[in-house]
Amino acid sequence: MEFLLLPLILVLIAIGIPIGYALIAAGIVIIALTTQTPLVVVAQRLFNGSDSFPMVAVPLFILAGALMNHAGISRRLVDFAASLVGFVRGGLAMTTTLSSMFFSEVSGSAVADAAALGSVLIPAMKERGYPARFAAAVLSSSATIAIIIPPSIPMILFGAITGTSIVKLFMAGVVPGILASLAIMGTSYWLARRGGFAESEPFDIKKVWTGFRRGFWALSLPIVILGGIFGGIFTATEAAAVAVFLALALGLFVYRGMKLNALGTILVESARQTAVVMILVAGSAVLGWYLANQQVPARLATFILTNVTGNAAALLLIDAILLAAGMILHSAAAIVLLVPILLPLTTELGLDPIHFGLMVTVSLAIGQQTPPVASVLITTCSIADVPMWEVMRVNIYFILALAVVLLLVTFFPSLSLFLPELLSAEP
Amino acid sequence: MSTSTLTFIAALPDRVETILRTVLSAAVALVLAAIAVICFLEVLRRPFGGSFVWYDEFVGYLLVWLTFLGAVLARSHHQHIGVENLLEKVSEGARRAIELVGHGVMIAVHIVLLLYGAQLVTRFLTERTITVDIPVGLVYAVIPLSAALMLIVEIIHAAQLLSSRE
Repeated sequence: MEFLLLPLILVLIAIGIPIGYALIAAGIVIIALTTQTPLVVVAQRLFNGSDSFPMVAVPLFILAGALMNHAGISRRLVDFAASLVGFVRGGLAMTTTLSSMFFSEVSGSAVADAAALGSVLIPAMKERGYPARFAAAVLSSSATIAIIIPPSIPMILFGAITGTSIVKLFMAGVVPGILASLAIMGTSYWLARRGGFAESEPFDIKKVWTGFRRGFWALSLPIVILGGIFGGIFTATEAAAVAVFLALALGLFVYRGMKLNALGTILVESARQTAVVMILVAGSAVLGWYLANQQVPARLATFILTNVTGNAAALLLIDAILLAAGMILHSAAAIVLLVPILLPLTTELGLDPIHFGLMVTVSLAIGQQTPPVASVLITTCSIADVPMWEVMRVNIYFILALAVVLLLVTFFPSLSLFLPELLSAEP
Repeated sequence: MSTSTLTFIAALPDRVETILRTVLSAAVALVLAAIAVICFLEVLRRPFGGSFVWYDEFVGYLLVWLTFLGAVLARSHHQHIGVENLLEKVSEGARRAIELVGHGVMIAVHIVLLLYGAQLVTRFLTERTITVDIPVGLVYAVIPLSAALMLIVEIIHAAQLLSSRE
């Protein structure tokens, strides 16, 4: 009966049911039709699926990101990034990628990054003669790597579901995150030269100093958060709470860009965004229960191991499944649904769960940018005011560059595992 | 049902939805603020060796409440992630019919959640949570409560769709 599940979900989504509720509806139907279990299990799984201490970091990082925007912190990060890399050909494109790296170290959400940085950088790029479709593509690709660079909401979900250390996942994301940024910057450089719109500003050390001074407190935010997490001072959830109060303090007392009465709106908006992500998680938990109940993960592992020869082929197959899932599902739903299904297989293959976590994160980063369900791309396209298919014609180069990074992450586990092993080697 | 009755029914719900949004907004803002403050206080207490025993269990529960109350609010604002552009291609009449089916599905789902959520609550009313001394059933109450609120939102939206004919 499981084979009916996917078409059912797709039909429900096609008629406009939100994805999270399509998952719940499909879960109710399939559990009622094919099992003897009373439907009370649906209510219970919904509750348990979202009752998780590690996942408390999700609303807190979303809130921290929203506070940073209101406090004018994102603008300062952009200015500092511009002073560092603005001299390269296609300087604003480089600035976009670098700002996204700074910003993602606090916000943890690619859509938040795309919205915050896009509203500043896309108009700026258009003004300097970059084609709108290029501006949208480079922003979308840069924002997408936010989920590879810690902190990352998909990594939090992965860690919470598999019981893997979120701190180690975060550390594992550092090297692949830098690789992905370099891949995007390289692609931008090449496209900017080829397209002949490669402006640049002269490098000016004075500007770097001004940018650094003006952005000093803003830059201290990622340092305190990552330092605190990696130094073992606090958990990811607690780091998120610290980020919230740091951003609040910066906004109220240092930069004074924030009014206390805006706080209510920021809280409500962050709460709504949290619910949008968490309902996907809860809905996926219902289906996840059913699939586990039918022993789908174990059956899939056996099936693939008997039909696919060679570790390399199996790894590529996992990547392909994740990429396909990323295209049709939101990253949160893809993780909650697929990771438990694939986990037994990866264990059989001898994959370190942290390495698997990075494969999942990088695949989904690519998936966020590929239609039909492309949350990040949709956000940037609406800011740049260009149709998605037109942006895709440029974006395909960035996606290819990220696909190379995915292959590197897949076949060289040490890229991910090097830093976390260094950490655990300490006494 | 005559058109004027439908118009009347559609005008009243506007007010109901506004009130619902205001109450839910206040509720989720409070829950999120509570999560942030509790987690932050926990960090501050850490160096002094203190720690709330109930801390991780309690914020977990708050997250569930935030999720399900926030989901109703997000639905009221059409904020959930889905694929809507498929419906742009079909004719006006077909789109309207499909949207009504969509509301029907949401209503059916939430009737199930209301009934079975209520069952869950009554079943666990006597059991106490591990660290916070409250009935487990009370914590579970967010499932039927949010389902009931979602039913109100869905019925209002369906009525608005019906009354916007012509």
